[in-house]
Amino acid sequence: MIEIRDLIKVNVTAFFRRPVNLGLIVFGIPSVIYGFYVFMRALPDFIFPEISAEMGAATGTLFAVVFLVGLVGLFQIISSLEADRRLSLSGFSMQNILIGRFLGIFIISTIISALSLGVMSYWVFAESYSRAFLVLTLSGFMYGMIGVLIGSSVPKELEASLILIFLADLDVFLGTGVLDFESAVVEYFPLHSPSILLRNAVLNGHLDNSHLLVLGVYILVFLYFSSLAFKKASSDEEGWF
Amino acid sequence: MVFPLIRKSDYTGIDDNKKSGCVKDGRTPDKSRGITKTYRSKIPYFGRDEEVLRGVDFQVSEANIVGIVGENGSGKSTLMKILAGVMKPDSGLVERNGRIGWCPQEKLLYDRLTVDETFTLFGIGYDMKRWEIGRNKEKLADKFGFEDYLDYQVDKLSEGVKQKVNLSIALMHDPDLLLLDEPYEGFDWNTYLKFWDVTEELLESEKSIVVISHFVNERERFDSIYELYGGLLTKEK
Repeated sequence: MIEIRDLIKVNVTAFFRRPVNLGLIVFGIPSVIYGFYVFMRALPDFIFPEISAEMGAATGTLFAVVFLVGLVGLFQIISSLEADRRLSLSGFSMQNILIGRFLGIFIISTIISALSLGVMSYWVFAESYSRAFLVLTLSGFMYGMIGVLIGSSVPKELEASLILIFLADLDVFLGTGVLDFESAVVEYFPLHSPSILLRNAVLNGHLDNSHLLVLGVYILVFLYFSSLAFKKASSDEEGWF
Repeated sequence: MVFPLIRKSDYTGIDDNKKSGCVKDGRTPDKSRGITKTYRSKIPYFGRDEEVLRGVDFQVSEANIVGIVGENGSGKSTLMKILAGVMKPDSGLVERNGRIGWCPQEKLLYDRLTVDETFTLFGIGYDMKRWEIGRNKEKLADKFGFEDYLDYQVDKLSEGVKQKVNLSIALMHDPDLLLLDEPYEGFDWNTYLKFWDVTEELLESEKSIVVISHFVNERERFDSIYELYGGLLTKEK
């Protein structure tokens, strides 16, 4: 337990000591949320028939949180995979190292969600901030797992970041319904349920249990696969790719 | 005290040697037999396999210091990783006794932690008490002269100071076997001499040391020197 507590502290501390992360929090989050808000307000309704400027800001908040926490998961793995092997040699179990990482990502997700929600509230009033916070935190955590999965599978910063950017962009524009793309496939995108949950939390303060369940299942699935990928990456000096 | 260096899942027993590399928590001396390792191409039919180790036999006795030399790319660091337990051999047996201290060539430390925090984290891993961590940290910082950098983040340190910390992390828990991969790279002359003072102290207290380097210029300091060439290790006469 002491091991895990120390590992969480290491992960959270390391995140806030990286200037680029602070830059993303201070400038990135407001820019993305404002960008989505302006984008939806400026473009005519026939392009985005169901998305108002306020809902655009909410979607921007969701994107800011998941993208940032996804990056956290990705860079935490890539930058410390080698040092983790040395740490495991000192006596830490790889299982505890992984649990420490996951819990660290969860804590970072709560902090980023709270900050993003605060920024969002400048443009949008949410009927239930606590429910919006819950959705953002869980969505961020899910993307943190996706970041761990990508970082463990492709332990190269540039390549892994590009994959995450591509996936997150595709997900936010198709999965959240920003672009009106008629296909059943988009309903299986990771951000589909979180976007519905967040809009409901903002508009009427309710959460749909079925979508919450879907989000929970996605988190468990990504938790499982990211753990497998980390186990493989940490036990194999050469990585997968 | 034996460190949880070897995971149970790694241990397959001597009889399974031919199937895959195995690691055994054995008795003195620390030794390895028939170690092979090939880096295989990730994509079939593209790239090529690199056979690095072709049956390495190696042994180090108590209170001995052994040097391993070899050209760049000869597989020295691969062998060291296998001896340390962070890489699995394709086949062969590694037996170790007691606590291992591994100083890798790449400074495998967490960039955003301070030197203080680095000692604390690895000390917890080594199952040391907080006061032990503090005492050994101060002793090593004083010995290698990085006491002014304890509150610096690792990524803010010069390469030389980073290497001092890298080495000190391997030494802080008083290991029985010290595996050092290019340990004095980046050291100034005084630190280089202090490094040899520390090895003398360790040898006097019956510790074993393996030093890997692309060249060894003070051969009289070693009990024996091996050369890794063509994937095989041969003892120099």
